[in-house]
Amino acid sequence: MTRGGRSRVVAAVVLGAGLAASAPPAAGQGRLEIGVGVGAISGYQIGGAEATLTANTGSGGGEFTLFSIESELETAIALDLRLGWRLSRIFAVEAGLGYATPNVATQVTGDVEAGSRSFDTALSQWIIDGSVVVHLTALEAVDGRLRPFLVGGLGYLRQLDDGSVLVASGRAAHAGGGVKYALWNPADSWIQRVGVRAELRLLIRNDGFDLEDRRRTSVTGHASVFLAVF
Amino acid sequence: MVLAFVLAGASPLEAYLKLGFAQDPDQVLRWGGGPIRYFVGDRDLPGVSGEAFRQAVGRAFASWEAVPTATATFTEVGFTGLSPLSEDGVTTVGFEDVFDFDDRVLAVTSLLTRTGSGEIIEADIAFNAAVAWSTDGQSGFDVEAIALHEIGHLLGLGHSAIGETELRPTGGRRVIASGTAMFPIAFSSGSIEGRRLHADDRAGVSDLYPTPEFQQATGSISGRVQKGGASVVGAHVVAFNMQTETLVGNFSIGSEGRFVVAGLPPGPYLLRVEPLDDADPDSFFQDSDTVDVDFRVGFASQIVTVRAGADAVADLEVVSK
Ligand SMILES: [Zn+2]
Repeated sequence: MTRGGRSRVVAAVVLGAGLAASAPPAAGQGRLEIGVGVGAISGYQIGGAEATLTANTGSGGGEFTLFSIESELETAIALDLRLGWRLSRIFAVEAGLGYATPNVATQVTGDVEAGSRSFDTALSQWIIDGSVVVHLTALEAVDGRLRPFLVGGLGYLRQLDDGSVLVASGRAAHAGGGVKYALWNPADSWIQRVGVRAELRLLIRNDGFDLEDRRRTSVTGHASVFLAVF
Repeated sequence: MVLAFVLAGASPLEAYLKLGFAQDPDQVLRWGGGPIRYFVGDRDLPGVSGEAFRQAVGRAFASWEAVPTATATFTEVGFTGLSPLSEDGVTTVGFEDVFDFDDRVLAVTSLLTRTGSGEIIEADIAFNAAVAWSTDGQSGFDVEAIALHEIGHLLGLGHSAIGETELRPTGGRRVIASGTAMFPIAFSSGSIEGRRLHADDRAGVSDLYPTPEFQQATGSISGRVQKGGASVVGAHVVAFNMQTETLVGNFSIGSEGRFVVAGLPPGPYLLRVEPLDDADPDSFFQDSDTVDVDFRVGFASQIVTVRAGADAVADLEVVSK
């Protein structure tokens, strides 16, 4: 699945490039930006559940709790691959592929016959996303080397267990911002810029592995290196 | 044609007796195609008229028939004056005076099966006429709830162990709570809690009489239960769906302590394993002296994901009490 996802990302970028070919060039900026980074994705509660039996109360229909569980998707290191296409000096579109292996920590409590206990389940999490990037050119600093930006978009999330069985899939929206800093800006090369990028995003998930099917919010932070060409 | 009469589930006043499932794991007791035709005994008992009995039994049959993932259907033929336990090729549900079983038996189901194939060709459900019965939730055992349990046996289901009990000072057990109509001990007199099928019952009947959709849409979890490297037989393994909060159980059987919990909708599951100590092991197994109850309640070490049409493997390790 992962390979299929990756090829879809490439296709989207190529298509984007075709559409944007007529846009005015952004001289000295590099049209295609390739970035590789590492960061963290914050953990969050994914809810609880109760195993209940029907209580022998007569006619009341009461419940008897056999045990309860609470689960949390824990904070994890995340890897990030990004391909961007610059439409103008301000706007760019980006496709991203994120990978993380968050642990699902599950706590079992209140078991009528056993003490509390907890256990861990590793998930592989892939997020394929598309974003619009707005470069805040008015806020550029250090001779244009430092360039803040805002980013927002939508993604598709897949979470697999350690046997590569799909646990959940779903949508995730994101919004955030960051800065890019150009380390190298060669004048006469097909390489237009080499730099570093730092960014924070708010990630809002509608689906994904959740015991209560609720919307969950987490924060991702990434640092990456990028190469802008053409 | 050789026929075997299998005693399949009696209900002592608080506890149902042994039933005839899993004598041979390779032989599944099951009806052939078409609706199961049954007669209803026409006796009037104090507090329960023949008509009230017929209606209560009809509601219990309807509950099983309403399981959308199972194909079992029933047709009521009419009243009969015949004894339910007569071996007459006619499936009958009714009151019976002479009860050869434990005097605390509420009801009994007997199955007439074709030896070899396991096909059920007649099933009778006898309610103990000496017991106080009720059809309206008043004092007395609830006909509909007990019929629901016995019809499970009529369909070929065995007992399920999803329930908690406590020992009575006067002997026997009292149900604290139950999560299956097929628990071997009935709710108390006056209770109508047992009128409802649970996920475990629906999985059981759908496993025996599956619709094509059920087979495509559900998966299973299988594995072994072990204690210090040795196989544990008769461990009760329950799969808890962490999203729908339903419980479906089965037992580890055979010399390798293998279990299969089938009929599970896709999703994340927690596996809980417990010893068979909430009812007599012989209400679950014919060969109950191999059942090991000397271990603590345990859980699988991680979440098990079930996929449609696939089996997920999860082994369970337990420790002695
Ligand atoms: Zn029974």
